[in-house]
Amino acid sequence: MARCSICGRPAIAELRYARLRLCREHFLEFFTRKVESTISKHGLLKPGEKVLLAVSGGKDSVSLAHVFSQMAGRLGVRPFLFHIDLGLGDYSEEQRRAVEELSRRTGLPLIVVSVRDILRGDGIPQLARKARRPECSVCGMVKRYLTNLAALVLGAEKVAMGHNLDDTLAYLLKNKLMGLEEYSSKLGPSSPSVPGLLAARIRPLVEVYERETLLYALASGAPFTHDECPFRPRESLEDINKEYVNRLEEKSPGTKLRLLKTLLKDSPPLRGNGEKLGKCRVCGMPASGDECSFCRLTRRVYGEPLGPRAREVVEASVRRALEGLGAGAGV
Amino acid sequence: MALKVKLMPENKVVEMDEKKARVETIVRRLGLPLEMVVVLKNGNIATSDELVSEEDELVVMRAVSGG
Repeated sequence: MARCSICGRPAIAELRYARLRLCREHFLEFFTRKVESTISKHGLLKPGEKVLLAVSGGKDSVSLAHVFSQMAGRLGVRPFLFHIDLGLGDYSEEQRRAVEELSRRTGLPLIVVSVRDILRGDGIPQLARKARRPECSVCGMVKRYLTNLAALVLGAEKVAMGHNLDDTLAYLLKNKLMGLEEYSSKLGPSSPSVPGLLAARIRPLVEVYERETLLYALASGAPFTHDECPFRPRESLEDINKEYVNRLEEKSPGTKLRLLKTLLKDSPPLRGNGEKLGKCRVCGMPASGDECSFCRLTRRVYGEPLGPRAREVVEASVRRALEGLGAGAGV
Repeated sequence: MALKVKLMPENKVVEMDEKKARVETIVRRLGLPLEMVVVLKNGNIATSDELVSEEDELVVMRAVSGG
């Protein structure tokens, strides 16, 4: 049986790239330090900032939230959990239960928004069908819209996402293969804010191996769901890229971290860097034309843009979470 | 009786010919890179050198993204 490189107790984690085998306790410590080091190296957070943690209930975001509950005091930041119930039947219900349990265990306040409260009882699959668009593209757009809206309503300076190293490499390679490198700078440790329109996004797990987030979720005992989304495409380009980089990693440990550096260095900064971003005339959220994609899509499907309805629902959810914190929280 | 492996999140059970094998051998037999899985032996996280026998309950969890 493998032993911990630090204390000699039975190991649970073999980290070949770091030449370490770690027991449960030392692995949890290693993981937390690794995330803290990404945050400080890239200046992702400042003391006093509010940070909205986008939590789906899967291993990555649950690990992110758990690790924040451990280090928020040291960093001097105020984390909030943010969960979107996408209306995907049992899958969404299980995710929601995991996130609610996570909030109870970590003591982090939870903001939950259900898309059915906004989309007149529809979940993502119904919206996608009515809009004749693929589920994943509609889902991504709705999630980006609601997460940014919640951050602005809460006054959070940062939105933290749970993208791990493997996810990031899969997207970076996809962009490279398809000649879309101009979108790659958005996948790095942070993307800037546009004041009043777009909250800054940070990705504190960008240097964490996917296998490490699963290990952390299991070893910390944090509640998470290990199901795959029922609409997830089989054998996507991202899946193939992930398997490829992991085969390289097996041959030569540390390849994934080296590849991340190379691919991010290669990606040109986004043209205009968001300066061209306009304001939706209906809801005031970011738009590339005069109406944002959320208002445009919901107008087409329901005959009326639902941006203002989304704001009402998000404001009510944020209010509920703040009331739960008590008046003395000074938020 | 032979080794039984439960594959997650597929929730699929795979039987192997061996009565005993190391975790690493089992994962390779499934065609998965070790880098992409976490293995639970009787509910506890196991390292790649651990020996598993047919009495053990073995779960191979693929590190996949939910959404």
